[in-house]
Amino acid sequence: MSDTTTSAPAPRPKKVQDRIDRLRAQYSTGGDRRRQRAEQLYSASQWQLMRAKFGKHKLAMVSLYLLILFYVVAILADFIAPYDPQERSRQHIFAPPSAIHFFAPDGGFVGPYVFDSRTRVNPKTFKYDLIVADNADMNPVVLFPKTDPYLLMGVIPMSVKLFGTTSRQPVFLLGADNLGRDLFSRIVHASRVSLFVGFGGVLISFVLGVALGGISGYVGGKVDVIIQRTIELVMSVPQIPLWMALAAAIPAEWTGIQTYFAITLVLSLVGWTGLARVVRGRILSMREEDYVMAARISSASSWSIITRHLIPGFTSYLIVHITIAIPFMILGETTLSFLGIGIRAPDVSWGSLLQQAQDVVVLSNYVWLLWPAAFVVAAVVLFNFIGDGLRDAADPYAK
Amino acid sequence: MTADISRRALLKAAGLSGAGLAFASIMGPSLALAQASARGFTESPMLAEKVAAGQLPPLDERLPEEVFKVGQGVLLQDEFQTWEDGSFGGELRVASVFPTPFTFLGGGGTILRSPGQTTEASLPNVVSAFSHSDDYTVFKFTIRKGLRWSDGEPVTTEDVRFHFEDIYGDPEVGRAWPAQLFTQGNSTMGPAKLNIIDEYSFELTFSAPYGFFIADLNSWIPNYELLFRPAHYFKQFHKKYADPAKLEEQLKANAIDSWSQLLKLKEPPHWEYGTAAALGMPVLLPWVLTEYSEQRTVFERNPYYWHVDGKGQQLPYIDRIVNNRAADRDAQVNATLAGQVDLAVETDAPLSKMSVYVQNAEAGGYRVFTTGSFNYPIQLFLNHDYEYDKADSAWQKLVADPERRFGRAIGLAIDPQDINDSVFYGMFGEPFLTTKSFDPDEAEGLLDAIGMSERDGEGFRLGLDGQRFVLRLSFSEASSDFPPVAELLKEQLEAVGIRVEIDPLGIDFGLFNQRKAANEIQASLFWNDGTAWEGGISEDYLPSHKGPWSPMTWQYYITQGKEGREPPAYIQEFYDIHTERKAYPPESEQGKALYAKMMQWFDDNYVLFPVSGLKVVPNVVHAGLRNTQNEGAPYELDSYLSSEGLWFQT
Amino acid sequence: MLQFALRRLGILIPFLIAISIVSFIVIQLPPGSYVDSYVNNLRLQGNVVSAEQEGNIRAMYGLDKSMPEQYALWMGKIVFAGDFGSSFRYNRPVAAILMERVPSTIILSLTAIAFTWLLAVPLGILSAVKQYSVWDHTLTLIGLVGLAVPGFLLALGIMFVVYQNTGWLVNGFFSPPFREAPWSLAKVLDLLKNVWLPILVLTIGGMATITRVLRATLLDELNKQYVTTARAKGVPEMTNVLRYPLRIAINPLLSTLGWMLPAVVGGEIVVSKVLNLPTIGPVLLEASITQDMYLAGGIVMILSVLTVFGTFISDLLLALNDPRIRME
Repeated sequence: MSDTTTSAPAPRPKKVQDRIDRLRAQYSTGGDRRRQRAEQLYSASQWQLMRAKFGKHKLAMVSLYLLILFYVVAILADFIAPYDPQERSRQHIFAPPSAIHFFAPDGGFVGPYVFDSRTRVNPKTFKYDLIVADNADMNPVVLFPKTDPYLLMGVIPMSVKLFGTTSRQPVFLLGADNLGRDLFSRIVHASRVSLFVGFGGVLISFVLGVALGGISGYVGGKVDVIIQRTIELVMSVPQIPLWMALAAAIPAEWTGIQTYFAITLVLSLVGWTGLARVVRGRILSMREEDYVMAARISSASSWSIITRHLIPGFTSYLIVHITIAIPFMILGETTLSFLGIGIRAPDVSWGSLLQQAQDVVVLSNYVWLLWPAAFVVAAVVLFNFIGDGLRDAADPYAK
Repeated sequence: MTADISRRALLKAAGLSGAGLAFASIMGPSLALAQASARGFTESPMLAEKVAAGQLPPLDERLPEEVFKVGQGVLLQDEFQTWEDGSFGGELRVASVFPTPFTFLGGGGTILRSPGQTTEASLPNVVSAFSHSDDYTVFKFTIRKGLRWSDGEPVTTEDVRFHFEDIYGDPEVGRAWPAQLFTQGNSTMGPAKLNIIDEYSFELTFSAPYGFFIADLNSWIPNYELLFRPAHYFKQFHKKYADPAKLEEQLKANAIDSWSQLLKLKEPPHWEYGTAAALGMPVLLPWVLTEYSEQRTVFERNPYYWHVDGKGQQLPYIDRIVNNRAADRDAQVNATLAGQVDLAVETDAPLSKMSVYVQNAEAGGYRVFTTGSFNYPIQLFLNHDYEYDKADSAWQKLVADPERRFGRAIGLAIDPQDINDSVFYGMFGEPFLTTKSFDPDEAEGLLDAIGMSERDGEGFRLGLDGQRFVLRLSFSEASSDFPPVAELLKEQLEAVGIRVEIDPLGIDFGLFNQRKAANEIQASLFWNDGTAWEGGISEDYLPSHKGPWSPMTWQYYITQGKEGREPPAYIQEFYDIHTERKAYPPESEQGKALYAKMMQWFDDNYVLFPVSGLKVVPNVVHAGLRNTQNEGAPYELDSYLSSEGLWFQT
Repeated sequence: MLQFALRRLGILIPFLIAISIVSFIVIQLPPGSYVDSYVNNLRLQGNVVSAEQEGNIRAMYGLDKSMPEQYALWMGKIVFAGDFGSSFRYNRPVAAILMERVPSTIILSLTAIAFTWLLAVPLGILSAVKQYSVWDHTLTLIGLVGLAVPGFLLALGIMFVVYQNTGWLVNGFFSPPFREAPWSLAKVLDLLKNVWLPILVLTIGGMATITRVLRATLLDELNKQYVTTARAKGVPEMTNVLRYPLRIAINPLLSTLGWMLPAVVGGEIVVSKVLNLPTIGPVLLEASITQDMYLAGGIVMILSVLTVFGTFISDLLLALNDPRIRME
């Protein structure tokens, strides 16, 4: 409205005015940012697209949240597990999962509680039977019961647990083991080892596998031959004597977790071979594709051809490979314990808990000790569903 | 019986789980009426057929002039077995991880025989007469006239001479003398001198009184091979006697380079009499190996076995033993549950599986009862030589305390009743030896007094040097009770402030033995044959035999001071008792007194700690098997070692 | 292609020699030797083993020679006489032990691999074609349970449930009475009554890897334009899937096909122990632990030869399957 000399133009229709305003705004300096943002919408990066797609994948999202929950539980194990993993109750050897009642014997609602109970060997069957007296005391199961002070994650002083009883009668969510220890608490503590230790190993073997396989397939020729024969050699080296040499070489004063970590590292140095061969196989078949040729003609570097043009071609496989490797990682230690390496008491892992369940006595009398298997299965399923979501998200053609 | 059983019986008849069982009962006790021989003996129909076919000489010619009579109180003590003369036939099925079923073949072939694991009431067995000088330096033996190896060759003093001169005496064979043949078991005192008198008699002379030798003559551990080898058989592998061309052939067939290695291969110790190399080797045992494969080993009755029962029937009753190989202990348990096993005890039938045995007894066609054990329960061993050559070792200061306060504290801190209740169904006996009293408060007092009163941030006691103190508990997982016992010990010792680290060394003893040889074990868990010490059958209380408690002084002892650690006074005291004990038969008055003195030494010096009372173990036996030992008998192994008397009742 | 095959075969021999050397060294890596533990045991029993005697024993087993000499002797005998030496622990020729156990191991492993592929490939295709259907979810879940539950537990669990319900306990390849019996119809039936369980467990354990990989890579292909084009042109759906996308999707599986045999042999160690199978896996474990070096060496050599041939076949298949893969 600076021009006051000319007569005021007829008011423009609102639609037209809006457009003019928008254009003005865009071409003015202050409009730059908005313009860019608008353009960004149309040129979202691959990662953004994937994230958006993944967010729409309900199963994968639910799995992701649940898996995060698993990890939170593992980190806060001291708080969430009602008991120390080593804490024994001498009266509750092989106690089955506690029956949690909500109504008093006379029928009134009183909130969750467990009866006083104990187990005793049946002299006829040699099985531990649960004994609950007729008028046994009721022990309420409460949130945040007071406990002895402890350090959460080794730093935060605490003196409450998530749940538990306030009396001497423990509550066994998933039953008790051969020494009367709470299985739920043991599983929760074991998830630390099972969910954290070993990831480093998988990552190392992943990087090695993709890199060496990629080079082998793309460069070909002598390099390929050398890498392939190395792979075969590594595959052929007998592993058991190797572990034994290692078991003897590991300093005696290392803790079980340190030992285990060392073992996973070595495992990963052997474990890359399978992945490398697959990567090579895929690259061999893709490097003749037109788009790779095009990239080569436009003198793209080998590195960028491998990482930008070839590897995205089999992201699906890589995702599946990692998710499939998870259970091997979680359970890998069980075979090593035959040789005296692997997780040792008092440390527990899901694998070592399962090993204790490998017993006909457990199968026949104390089946609840198989619960750790459910946790391994759950973790593996969650990882795989997330993998599915990632795969779909990464697939540009997916509907 | 219930419908359920008949259904199972049908399944079995259909050749399912009990195919072997059905087979056993078809083959079972023979109803054929055997005729007694001129000398009044009868034999199994299986052998009678062979005699009829001309494959075997008649029974009277196979038995020595004097037979060994078996009856009530001979194989086992009167109160532990009710002997019934049985009937011939059948097949005994066992399952074992090894080709040689545990000690099946050890029974029946000792030089002298005392009931069960005793060594005092020695009846001549391989020999017909035995005597010794009053000072136990000269032992005289007369071999049973007409006694034959299982291939029919007579047993003579040539078998003893070959054993002494051509096996141990030949440097090219390179065989180490067995400890038992050294005077007082001490290698520095030299081996026994052999004096052959005639074809059947010989004398052994030791350089010092060696009454303990009587226990070895009764023991199934060295067995008859302590003195006898089938010379006629081994000569074909010995360069001095063998035809060179045939020897060369043998070397090729066995993929072996040297004849001494071939001889060693062909001459396995008796606990390997079920291996392929033992095929064809003549023995002095109730059964002989006749078939070997990786899947099973079969033993058939020895036609020349010289034991007969009250009715004149030649033992054993059972014709065959079939040992089906199991991949591991669990597979063995499974075979038992499936009714594929007629006899299993101890490591073959662990107590931890008691509930499934009992619950499946009817389906499996067996019964379960408990007996005592040849083994002590797991013990904690403290290595008094650990870090002995390290200056200012805090551990050495602890164990060198003349009042043994550290050891006493450990003994007081261990609660055997808790371990018994938690791991052994409360079935093991009263606490004994160094762990008989449980008093953690007193333990804490002792630890404070010795100077371990300072504690670290986690509340654990510091060592005498003010540094972090850890008791490392090493063990090989020989059986499934090791891990829980280790965890319980850790808890109990940590309750009095001693930090414990559990150090499992795998399922094989390789790593454990390496660490032991290198003196790198501080504390360990192991079992040993404690209940067989008194009779002299076993001496594995020695400082480096099972868990090491003083391995370096033991090395000093056996090398006459050339290597190892010179024993401190209190350990020298142990060696003195051990040596003195060798002069007398273990079950003589002096022997018993010295044994009591030795146990007192163990009680006073805290080198080993039984984690619970004496063991009680299951015996799983086929429901129709007779002449088994009675419930509550002291040694589970007697079930195996007296197996010549077993028979099937139908 | 023929040239490629011949060239690959040509380098096989030197390569196998390299493997044998590395294996021979690795087997002796753990400290101590069989003679050490033998002598150690003798000493513990109170025997006096002089240094000279120890030397004799070492010489008896050929362990007094240098490692290259030991290797040369060992290899020489294998190559020129088919003699694998003698096992310290079993006291019998290694060749005899291999003869008893290797064939059953290979047959079991190949059967399990065949079942795995026969089941897993169609199921993987189904899973991909019907993505997120009930089928897909069910198959995924079963596969993952098979993957996540360790083989030993699965084997023991199934064995026990069957035992509780029928009284039949799977124990070995054959029930005891048939173990050394001549072949007959009854023996075959007995074998079938036992062998289904290890095959089932090994198959379930290996299936997930194949279905999951196939599903993922096939999904990549199914959404590509050439498939859509073919579909638009009216090519029947199954033909459309099987003709091209599957050939590309199966590439990763072919890459590792050659190693399935040794992998199954490794994976069956624990399963074999639980089910009491007389295969080679547990023997390898035991031989390694007890440093029974000629036995361990013999088994490792056999497995290596199988691995190398497997890889060779796998490379051939890769090239046959996908002509774009150049073999230079």
